Amino acid sequence: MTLTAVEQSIDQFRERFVLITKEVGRRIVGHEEVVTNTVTSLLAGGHVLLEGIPGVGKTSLVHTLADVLHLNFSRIQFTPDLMPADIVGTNIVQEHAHGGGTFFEFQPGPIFSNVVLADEINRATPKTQSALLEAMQDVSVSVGKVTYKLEQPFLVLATQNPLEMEGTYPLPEAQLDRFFFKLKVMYPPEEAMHQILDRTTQDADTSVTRVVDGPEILAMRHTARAVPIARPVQAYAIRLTLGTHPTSPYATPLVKRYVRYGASPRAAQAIVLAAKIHALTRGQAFVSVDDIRAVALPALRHRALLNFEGEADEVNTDTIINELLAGVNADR
Amino acid sequence: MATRSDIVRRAVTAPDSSTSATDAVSTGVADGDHQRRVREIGRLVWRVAPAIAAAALLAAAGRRWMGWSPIVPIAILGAGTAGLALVVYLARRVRPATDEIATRLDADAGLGGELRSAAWFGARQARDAWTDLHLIRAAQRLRDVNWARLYPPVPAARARAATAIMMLAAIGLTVILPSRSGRLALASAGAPTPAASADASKMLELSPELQKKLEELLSGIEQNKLSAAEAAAKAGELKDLLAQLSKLDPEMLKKLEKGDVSANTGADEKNVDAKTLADRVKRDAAAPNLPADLKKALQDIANQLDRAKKTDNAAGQQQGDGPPGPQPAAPGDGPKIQPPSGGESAEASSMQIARESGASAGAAQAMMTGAGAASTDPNPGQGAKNGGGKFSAIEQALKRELVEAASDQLGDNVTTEIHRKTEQGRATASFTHAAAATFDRGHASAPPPVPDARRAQVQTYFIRKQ
Repeated sequence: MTLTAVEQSIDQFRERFVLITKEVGRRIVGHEEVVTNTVTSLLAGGHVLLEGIPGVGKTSLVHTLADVLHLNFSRIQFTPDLMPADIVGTNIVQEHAHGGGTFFEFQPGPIFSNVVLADEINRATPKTQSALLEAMQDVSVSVGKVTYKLEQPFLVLATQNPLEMEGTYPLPEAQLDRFFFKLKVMYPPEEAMHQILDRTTQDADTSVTRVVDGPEILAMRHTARAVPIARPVQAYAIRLTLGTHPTSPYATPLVKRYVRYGASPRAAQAIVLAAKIHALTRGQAFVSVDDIRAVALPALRHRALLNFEGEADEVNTDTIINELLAGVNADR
Repeated sequence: MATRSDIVRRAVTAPDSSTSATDAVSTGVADGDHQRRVREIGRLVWRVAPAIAAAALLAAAGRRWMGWSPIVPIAILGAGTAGLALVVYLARRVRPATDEIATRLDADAGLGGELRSAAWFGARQARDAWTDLHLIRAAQRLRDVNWARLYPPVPAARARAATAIMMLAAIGLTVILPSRSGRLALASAGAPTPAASADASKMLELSPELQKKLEELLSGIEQNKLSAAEAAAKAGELKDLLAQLSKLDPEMLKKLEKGDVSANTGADEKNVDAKTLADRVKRDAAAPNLPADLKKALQDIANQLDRAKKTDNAAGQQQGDGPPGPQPAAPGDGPKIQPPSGGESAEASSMQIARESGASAGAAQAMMTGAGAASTDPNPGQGAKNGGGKFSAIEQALKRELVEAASDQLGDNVTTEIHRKTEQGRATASFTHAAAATFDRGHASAPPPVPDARRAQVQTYFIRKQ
């Protein structure tokens, strides 16, 4: 690969990234950071857990993203009676068309899409939730003795409501760790509310065009992984990850007090990969400490498991991670 | 030889040359680090240099006025300069570019982490197109960084000026101006001033009260108004007079030793003429109708006044003939009361007194030695400071007491009882003036054997005292 090709890759990546976010922004207003991080997660090959109150546009965001990316989209509404087979699919008995007996045929579930919206994922039982584990990690599902590969790019966008906790099943740590980012969809600001009302209460054209397809997304993933990162910068990402552990020398006072378990190595992977994408979006051919800082919060906030005291005091993990970002020395 | 800017220019004009870019990055880091260290060292130097100069100036002032060695300010200046030179040398040495240095330069130049990352990749052998592009871009950005402008030299005009002024002042005080401490020492260690000598003569001057008492006594004698009983009473008063004449003021003695007795401690016009008074007392002492002890007491007063006159004369002579400039004085060689001359002097010098500094108040011990004994070694409590010049007074007091003891009638003499109390009180006062801390029993000589001729009288004296 020549220098020119590298430069073209960087420019192309940046242009496509901007295209995606701009096109999504035509329909989704007031959530630019959520959109950017969602696209980053898509380009990194990760999955996103969207957390927010009802009506702030979580589902619309996923819909819009699927439309813009020219990808297959499916939605699974998680309920307590949802079964794993309802997600991954099942073998059903079929008869041969011209007689001669029956046979089992696999009927794929909604997981077989490029973009899967797992709406209110915490309302399903853990058994059903765990049906997503293999798909999210290995991009494959096993039914019976057969394993089926999922089509790339594969992206799971799960949503959950932080308020209505009755009758819900909080996601286990193993599943939480499989989400690349956890993004908080906040209530839109007043100016954004005007735009939302203008677009949804008037006869305005809110249609989006498909700007990127699957192969291009895969190419962008490949480009992102090629960005070099210097060892001292990578060491900072590692220190941040280790700092979420209460027994670590990098742990801050809040971590020592409120965190029971810290982030796994997946967190460091997520940080570095997301930082590379963040660097590319800025047109850089290298990763800086600023890139690490920009993506650390969504990568770590759901991976720090609070202890009893932290739960009792209703400590926000964002506060802990922000203190960690301020406390860990990046220049060492 | 290619300069740093040439290397950077070459890297930019030949973007495919990753080696040039690597060199440019490493050279840029080294250049920036050098400029930064020069600035930091300059800041340090001009923060420390005024302090060193101030210390040298203080030391020079100490040499000038306190008598310190001139080496001290020079040594401070030399050591400070050498220390700063060493620090500058160590700081300006070429160091390998570490990640810490690159990070600092990156932050100062606002390169967003590019220089730090490029410096790390530039030090590695493994390369690919991405790292090459990264290095070339970093070299291009480094071209726009002016390290000299980013790290300008520290102006520190005030620090420079203050350092120069203080150093010049320190050198000037050390080298050019002589020390004043020598002159001050000479001045402070000089001989007693004429005023102090004049004050010595006033030691024996009479107070107005004493003058009045003596005047009344002499008038009574001259007019033959004294009866036998009055004469005996007057004799007791005369003894008190004698005691006061011989008693020197300890404060005045201390001042005399220091040589700083003021010239105006007393009023000269109120003092009686010692010579006239002595002549008058002598004349009255020769009156035939006086008792023997009164005659003796008057004679003693006359002797005291004579000595006062002589002392006054000696002080006046010293005031007129003494050298005008300062004179070195030996330690402890302060002004002394002139000892009696002639045979009286020889007799006085043969007497040593050791005072017991124990708890027994009033225990004064008189020791008579031979005439050839070494009386120059003052025994404890007998130096000039402690009244070593009062030999004649003590001797006369002893003589007087011996006479009184010889004529004492036990149980009948009320005057003697009063006298005994007075003696006791005087002994207590003398003990108070003795320097107990300097007393050394080892220096006290054994009392000499009492001559057989005096033994009976002495025995009687001490038996009476007990």
